[in-house]
Amino acid sequence: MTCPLPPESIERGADWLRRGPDGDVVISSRVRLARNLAGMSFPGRMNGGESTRLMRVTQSAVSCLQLKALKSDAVTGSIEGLTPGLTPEKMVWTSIGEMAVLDRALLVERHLISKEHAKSDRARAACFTLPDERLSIMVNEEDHLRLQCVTPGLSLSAAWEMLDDVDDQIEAQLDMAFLPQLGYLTACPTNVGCAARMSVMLHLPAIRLAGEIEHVKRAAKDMNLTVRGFYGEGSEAAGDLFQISNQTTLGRSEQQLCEQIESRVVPQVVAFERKVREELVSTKRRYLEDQIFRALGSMKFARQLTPEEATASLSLVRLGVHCGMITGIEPQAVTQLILLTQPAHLQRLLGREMDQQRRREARADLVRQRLEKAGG
Amino acid sequence: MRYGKRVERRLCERCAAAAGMLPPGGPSVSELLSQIVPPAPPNMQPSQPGVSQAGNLDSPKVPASPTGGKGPQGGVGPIPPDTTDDAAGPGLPFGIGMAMGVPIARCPRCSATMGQLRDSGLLGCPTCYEAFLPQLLPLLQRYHEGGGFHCGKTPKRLVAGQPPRVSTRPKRKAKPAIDLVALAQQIQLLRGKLAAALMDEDYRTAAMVRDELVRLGDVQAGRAGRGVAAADGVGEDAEHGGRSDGNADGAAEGEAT
Repeated sequence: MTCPLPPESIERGADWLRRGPDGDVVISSRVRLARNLAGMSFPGRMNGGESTRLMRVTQSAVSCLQLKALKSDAVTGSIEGLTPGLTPEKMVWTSIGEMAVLDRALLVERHLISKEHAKSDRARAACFTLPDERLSIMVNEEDHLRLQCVTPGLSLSAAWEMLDDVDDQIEAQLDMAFLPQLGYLTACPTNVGCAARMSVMLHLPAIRLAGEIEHVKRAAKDMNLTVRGFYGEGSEAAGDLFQISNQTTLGRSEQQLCEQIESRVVPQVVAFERKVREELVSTKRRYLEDQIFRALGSMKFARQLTPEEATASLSLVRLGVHCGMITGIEPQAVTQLILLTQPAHLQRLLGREMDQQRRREARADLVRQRLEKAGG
Repeated sequence: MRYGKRVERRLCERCAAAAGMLPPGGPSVSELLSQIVPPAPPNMQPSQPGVSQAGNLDSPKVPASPTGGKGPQGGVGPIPPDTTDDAAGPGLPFGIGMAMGVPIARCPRCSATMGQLRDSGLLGCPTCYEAFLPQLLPLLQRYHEGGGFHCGKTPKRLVAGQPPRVSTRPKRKAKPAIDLVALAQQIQLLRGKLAAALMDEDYRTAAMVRDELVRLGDVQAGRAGRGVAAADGVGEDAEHGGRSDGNADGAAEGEAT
């Protein structure tokens, strides 16, 4: 039973939780690539021999990776230096089948693997993770390899740059399924082409309070983008956290997708969220204060909390910190607390497995303790 | 909710879609495939344990469409059920075979069929793309909003002509009988010619183009071609304006990918 996340990293939180560019609204940027090896069935039809071979060649290719630190430029300037000594390092390999159920859930909450991968009963399902969690590779998910890079704030091009380099190194080792006309071949035809999903996670409490979130979704859809919740498709926008990502992968290059999302779409959404926040502060201050301090009050005094309630209220507390209404706590600590109050995180943080009732009590205790100094 | 107050709006489906209040995302793979390949009868449904519903890179799972027929964007209509599964003969190039006069496909490497793709939303192996290229192209173009050609990254070793350190390809790779990219382009070209000929009511040319398309394994042409055949059957001596219009519409539908 192994978990690629050391106990100290659970408290520290994922690397992407640190404040990055436009960090008041943008939580993180993520690029994910799907890759399949030529001459081998996709995971859904693989036999045991192919699975073993996939694992062997992937381990060999990943062990040769030479990871670079993110380049120091205007975009990543605020990122560098915050986690000294964490990059570059070797990736840690973990077999999904050998992990405890709780550790699998932990990786899902951390966005390192998908829910489907965590539930996979495939013999050779595995993942590679970098200790700072910026880079991870799922092996034997829907595709042979799914490479992912997550960076803090609005830094999609930096994430793409890092993942492109990793992809180049792996491609030099392995023969990927590729056709000039269709690009990278994937198990699901909706991913064929550049096989890239570029997404940015945004915190949009003001837009949600103003009832304008559907307009954002519609505008995104018109541009072939989708808006999903915190944990992707099917998850509600818990804590007002929304992911904007590309819907199509064929006919547009990675750079075009990156440029569209990072330079054109997300800045507009960020500007809209800031504008609504300003309007709320100036014209509906009493309403906003009521929302924020009700949330803070319940967090500071509740004795039992469900994860949904904690996430929703902490979202408003985060808004209150950014609007200057709540002091005594850093906004990143609130974001981190949203992650720490998720079921698997909570149990691993406290070092014991608990039933639902115990978790609700422990969650309330943790939130009370962490928000002790927060006030208006 | 708007500033904490409940705002109630009663909208029809169209207005709700315009207001962005319907679930995001376009038609799923299964929905699109159901328009090309209708579900097989229950006794022909392939069972494939372990294969989940298809998803995108964020792993949403898309349900198989319960019905075939036209999707929201119109376009490709169904082909007969008896052509979807388990009918490809052995030894046909890239799985392209014939059943009831209409091309069908089976992957020569993993034996996956279009019916299985429709049910699971997932292809079996990279070779499936080559085997099902004529059927997949209109689906891909529709899902990817017209983007039918890759214009992103190409593996650097391919550009440099270098072999990978480890190759997972079979050592004795069967040489393709046809250049599939050229085939796909030729099919697209001929589809344009077919539509133009039908618009001009030049049924002789249309029938020749249709036959050529069917020979190349174009499922849509096989279906649209039955309409041309109907026009062929009544000869070329006019009086069939209504039917001709119908054929032209059918061809236009086929092109609307």
